[in-house]
Amino acid sequence: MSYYIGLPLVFLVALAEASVLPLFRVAGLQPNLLLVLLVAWLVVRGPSEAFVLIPLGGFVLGLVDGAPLGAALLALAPMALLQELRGARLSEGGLSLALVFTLLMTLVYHLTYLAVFSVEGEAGSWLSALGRVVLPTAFLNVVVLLPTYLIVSLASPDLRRAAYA
Amino acid sequence: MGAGLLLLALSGIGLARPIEDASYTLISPIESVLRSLAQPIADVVANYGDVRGLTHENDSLRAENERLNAEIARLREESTQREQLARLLEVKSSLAGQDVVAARIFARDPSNLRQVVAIDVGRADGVKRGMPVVTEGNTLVGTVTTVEEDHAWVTLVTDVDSAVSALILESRDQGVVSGGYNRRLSMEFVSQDATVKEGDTVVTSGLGGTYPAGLVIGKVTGISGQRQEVFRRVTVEPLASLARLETVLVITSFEPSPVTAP
Repeated sequence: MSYYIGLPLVFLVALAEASVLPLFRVAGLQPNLLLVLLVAWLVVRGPSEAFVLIPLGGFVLGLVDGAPLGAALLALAPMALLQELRGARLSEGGLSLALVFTLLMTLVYHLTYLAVFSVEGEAGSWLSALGRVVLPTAFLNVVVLLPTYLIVSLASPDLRRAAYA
Repeated sequence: MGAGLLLLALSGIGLARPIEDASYTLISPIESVLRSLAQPIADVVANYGDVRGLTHENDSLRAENERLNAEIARLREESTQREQLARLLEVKSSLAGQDVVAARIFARDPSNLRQVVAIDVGRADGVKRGMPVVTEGNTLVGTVTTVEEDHAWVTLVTDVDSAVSALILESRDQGVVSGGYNRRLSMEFVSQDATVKEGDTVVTSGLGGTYPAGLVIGKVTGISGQRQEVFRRVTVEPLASLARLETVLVITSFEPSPVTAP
C-alpha cells in the first residue's frame, strides 16, 4: 500500500464523511472515519506516509464541512504529536496503541472545533458537548477503529514481508 | 498546524472564498454520487424488515402528516390571528405568496458538534444569509448562515447556536426555541402561568424580525420545571424529520430585519 492508494482513499473518506456517513448516524452521531483511518495508518504504516495524508485529509475535510476552512486541518494536526509519544516508547502495542491514540485524538479533535466555534461566538456549553457528543463519538470511533485497523494491516503486505525478512 | 491557522485566518476575512467556491465545482458531483450510492444501503439499514414498501409508505405518511399538520396549524393561526390581531394576519397571509427556491441537501457537517447542512443553491440563485429554510410542508428547518456563489450552508433549528422566537399555537404562550448538543429542541422562557400541554403545536412568532410568523416548528412532547422556578421548560419534537431531509425550500422573499434596541 502506498500513496497511490492512500491519497485517493483519504480524499474519498473525507468526502464520504460529509455525504455518506450522515445517512448512517446512530442517535444523531457519526464516527470520525477520517480521523480513525489516519490513526490506523499512522500506527500501522508509520509517520512518513501519515504525515502526508494528515494535511491532505484535513484540507479536504475542511472543504466539505460547515466549519471555517482550516478548522479540520487544525483539529487533525495534533496527530503529529502522537508520533512523539510513540517515539518516546510510552507504549508499543499495535492495536492498543491505536485505541489510545483514537481516544486522545477524538478529544483533541472536538476540543479544537469547540475552540474554533467559541472564537466565532457559536459554541454552547463545553461540558454538555463533552458528555453528549465527544464521549459517545469516542466510543463510535473505537468501534470503527477495529475493522479499519484490520483492513489497513491486511492491506500492508509490504510491511509484513519486511518484518519477516 | 501553521497551515490550519493560516487557512482559518484567511477564511475569517473571506480570502478563502475562491478556494471554497472552486472546490465545490469539483467536490459536489463526487459527493452526490457517493450519497446516491449509499442512500439505498442507508434505507435498508433504516428499515431492514420490509424494506422499500415501508420506507416509501413511511415517507409519504410522514410527508402527508407534516403537510396536514402544517395546514391545520396554518388555518388555526389564520383564524386566531383574524380574531385577535389584524396586523399579524397580514404577515401570515403574505406567507402564502412567498417566493421560494427549491434546494437539494448534498452534505452535512460531519463534526457532530453542529447541525448544519449544505444545499445546492447559493448567491447566484438569490439566496442570502439569514433567509429561513422550510420543508415542502412549510415546517421550519433552519436558516441560511453561510452563502457561497453556488451553494450555501443552513444551520438547522436543532443546532446548539439556533434560537427562534416561538409561540404555542393553542395557548399563545411565547418563548424561545433553541437547539442543543442532544440534537433536540427545547422551548425556554415559557411563563409558569402558561397553559401548555403535550401535543400542542409550536410555531414561529415573528418576534425579532428574523423569521416570518406562523412557520410550524414542532409538537410539545414534554413539560418540566418546578413551581418555584421562573420559567417552565418545554421539550419540542421537530415536525420535520431533520435527519433524513433531502430537499428543502429557501424563502427568498423574506429578508430578516433583526430588531435592534431603541
